[in-house]
Amino acid sequence: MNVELGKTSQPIGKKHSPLNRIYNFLLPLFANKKATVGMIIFLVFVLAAIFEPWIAPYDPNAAIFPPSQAPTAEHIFGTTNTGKDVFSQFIYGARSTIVVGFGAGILTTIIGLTIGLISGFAGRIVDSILGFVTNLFLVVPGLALLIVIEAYLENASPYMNGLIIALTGWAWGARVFRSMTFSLGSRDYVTAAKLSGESNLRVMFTQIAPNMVSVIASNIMYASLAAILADSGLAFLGLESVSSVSWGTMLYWAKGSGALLNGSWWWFLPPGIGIALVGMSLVLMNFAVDQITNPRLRQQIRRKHNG
Amino acid sequence: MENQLVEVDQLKIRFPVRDGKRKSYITPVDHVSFTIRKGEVLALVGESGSGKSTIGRTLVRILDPTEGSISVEGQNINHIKGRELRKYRGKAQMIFQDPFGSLNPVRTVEKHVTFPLKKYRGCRGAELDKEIDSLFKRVGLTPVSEMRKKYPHELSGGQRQRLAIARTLAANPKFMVADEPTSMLDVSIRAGILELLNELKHDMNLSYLYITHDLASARYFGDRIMVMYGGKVMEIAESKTLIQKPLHPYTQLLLAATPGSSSELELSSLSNEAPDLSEGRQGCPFAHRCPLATNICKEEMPPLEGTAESEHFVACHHAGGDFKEAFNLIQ
Amino acid sequence: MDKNEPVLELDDVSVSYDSPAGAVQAVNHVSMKIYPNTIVGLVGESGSGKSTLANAIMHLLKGNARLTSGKVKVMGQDIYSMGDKELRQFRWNRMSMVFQSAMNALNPVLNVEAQMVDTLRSHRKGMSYKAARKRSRELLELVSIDSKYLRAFPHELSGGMRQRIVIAIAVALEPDLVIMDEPTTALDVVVQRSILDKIRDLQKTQKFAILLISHDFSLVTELCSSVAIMYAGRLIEKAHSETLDTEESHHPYTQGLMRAIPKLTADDVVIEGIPGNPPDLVDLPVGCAYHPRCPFAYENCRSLRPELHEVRDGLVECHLYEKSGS
Repeated sequence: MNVELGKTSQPIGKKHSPLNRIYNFLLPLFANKKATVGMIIFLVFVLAAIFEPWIAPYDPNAAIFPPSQAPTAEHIFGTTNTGKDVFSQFIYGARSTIVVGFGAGILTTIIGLTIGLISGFAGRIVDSILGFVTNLFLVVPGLALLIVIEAYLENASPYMNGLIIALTGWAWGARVFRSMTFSLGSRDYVTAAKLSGESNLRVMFTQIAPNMVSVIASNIMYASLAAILADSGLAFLGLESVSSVSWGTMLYWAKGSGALLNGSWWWFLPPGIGIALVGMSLVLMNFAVDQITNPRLRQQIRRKHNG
Repeated sequence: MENQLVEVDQLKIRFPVRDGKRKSYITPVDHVSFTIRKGEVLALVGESGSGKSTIGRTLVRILDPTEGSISVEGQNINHIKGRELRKYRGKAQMIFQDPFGSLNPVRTVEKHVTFPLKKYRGCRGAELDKEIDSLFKRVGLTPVSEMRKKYPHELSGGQRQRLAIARTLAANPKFMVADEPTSMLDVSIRAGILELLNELKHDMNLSYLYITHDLASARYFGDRIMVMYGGKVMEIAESKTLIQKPLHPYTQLLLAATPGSSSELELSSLSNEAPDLSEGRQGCPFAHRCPLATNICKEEMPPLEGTAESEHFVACHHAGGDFKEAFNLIQ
Repeated sequence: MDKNEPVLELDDVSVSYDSPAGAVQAVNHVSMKIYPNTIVGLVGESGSGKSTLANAIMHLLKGNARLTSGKVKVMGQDIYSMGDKELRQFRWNRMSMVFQSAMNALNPVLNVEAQMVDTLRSHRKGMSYKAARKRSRELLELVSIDSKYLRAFPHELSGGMRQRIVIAIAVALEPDLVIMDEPTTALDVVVQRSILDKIRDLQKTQKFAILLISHDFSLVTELCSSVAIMYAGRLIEKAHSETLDTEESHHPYTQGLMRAIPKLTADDVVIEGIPGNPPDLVDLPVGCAYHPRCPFAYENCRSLRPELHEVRDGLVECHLYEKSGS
């Protein structure tokens, strides 16, 4: 009976090759134009960050070229006032900016998720303690705290910056995850899982967390964006080791050397646009997150594409 | 009485409610006692606010009892915790009203039963595979190979409820709480689910607490029917007896209101007041709606009385009074 | 008004909408008439198109649903050729609707009186505020609610009271047709019964026609004189409700439903479910949509769509009744 019904549902069980799985998983990214654009931009920067020694034509710290040159064929982004190649600095800066941004974004999300799940699930006393700590981190002005810590540490490396950003910025995520855990935790399937003998820890991570994947992914994207902006901001203020190469420090040197005044636009525009583009790519990719993580939406897209 | 599986004695469940700044308590279940035999279906009938779902959830210990005792196979389960509680849940399972809400939307169909199969039956590898196969066949989720990798949203309402039943069976239970298992399903599907539950009862000697608001299905599926109102038991009797010779005025009202009862009672101006659940309430909860009520009804809760051989127990000062006449008089 | 003029006339009505999985024909060439002073039941499962049909009659189709064929006439007037303003006036004066969820139908920030006065005055030009208030009081009395509740807000009322108020608002302007979409589904049995009795009382005194939509067969047969049954968007049977209990010659789906409902008072209760599941509207079976679940299906059912055949004084859309009705 119901042969007709069988036809409409997708034979997902039949395609098991890993390539097909990856294709099916990523299909939504290609099905959504905004997300495709975002992913292409993002991939360009990631590739640049991975292959920087091959892409960058010169050592970013070698001050051996004619200073303050406008872009030429040899120096496509021109040179700084001390004779460093801006393009090479831009490529090297991509790595530290992306690693710091994403590292901090993921770390923030992990901290926020853990605290959110526990306080949403563990009961009143634990919840009120964790809630208090979360609120504390919410009301402390983030950038001011960062500046104080940075000033105390003096010349922190970009990675240290990322760590500090993550440790101070998890509270928003924790709030969101906590309220989601509350709402998902009262669903019948969670109760049913407990009745099936699953322990609280198992319920948290195998029943509740998978239903939050889209929020987790969004949180990573936005936290990364915030981390990139915070890191660049700190570096721009000179609160990062000025000898490191990142887009923030490029801006710091450009401003300190009066690039804005004497019209060396090729120096401060690339890092500024770089930050804007990476940020935009994250926001654009976020449009497809729901479609990747929701099995129902995922299948609708697959149905459209496969016939 | 060694064939009693579940014995509930003077069960009381209390919840705090916050009314502005004052904290007070409601008792949705107030001194309720009943038993369920092995292989028996006790149908629990009542309206919203009667406490029927609260009892169901307490029996599987999603909620904790405040007073009284619940024992299953002689073991008191009032305060068991941790490992012991998880072991108990292998014995006592629950089917929920909303089949979609009780399934995890991001899990495939087979994933829903693998954990309990591993945990309660110790199945691994090929054996696990075989067990899933026979379990799905047992509940009518066929063709099995096609079903296994589907997600809940790809199933029809009836199939979802069948999967929920398969999940409870995976734990190898002796006793099941079925909380309105068919009320959210299409009419044509309901009978099939009830039939399945009935078959399982006979094949596996399962006992059920079947919670419903529908007397007709309670009569079909239940061996005995217990009627509750405002947290108290009004009447318990064998299904047929309760439908044909109801003694409590509330049971009579419920019967008259059920579509298909061809009752002549005119209820158009009946008050729809909800029962009072506050702690320390007095008298019979149905008194303010009851046409037979006298002063004593408002002051004193009548005890549940009857004879053991007839198995017909009723809690009413005026049990067996002419309800219809009284009702039409006060209208 | 001529007694034999139908209040509602549906002629070949089809409604379809787009879904991510493809076009869905929710209502498929439905024709029916409802005469004054009658209660007609419309029964079907989820996805049968019964609620979509109700919305189509009210010209309240939501989302991308649209009327693809046919005419809807209420009191002889074509609903779909009216302008917006005309339609708005027509809607509450001549036809009204009671929705399943009373909570959603009432405005949570207005008290009962304000909502009633609003409805009355926006549809009756020239009705004074005072007159509207007086009428609201009468309407509450009509549905057996104490007038002290005029000042109450929806959340302060019980579900049954809210539904009574929604019904009072629906009949406030003395319409000729009231469509009730599962008016008591979310309510307790006793409350449900008291509201149905109230509806019956009101209908007797005000003599409007009711189209009562429900999934509950026993409820509909108790209240309605005739019943229309929908399956997969098609009207598959029209019958007098008393014949449902007594006669055997119905659509196999109707027979199946009757067997699937446990009877309260019968001596012996045996019920039997209908195998299979309701069909997927995106991908309907060829021929009769019910054939995969039908115990009597033969070749014709799998290839040819049946037509409506006269059986007694009703209609059944089934190949079994091809010759002359059994």
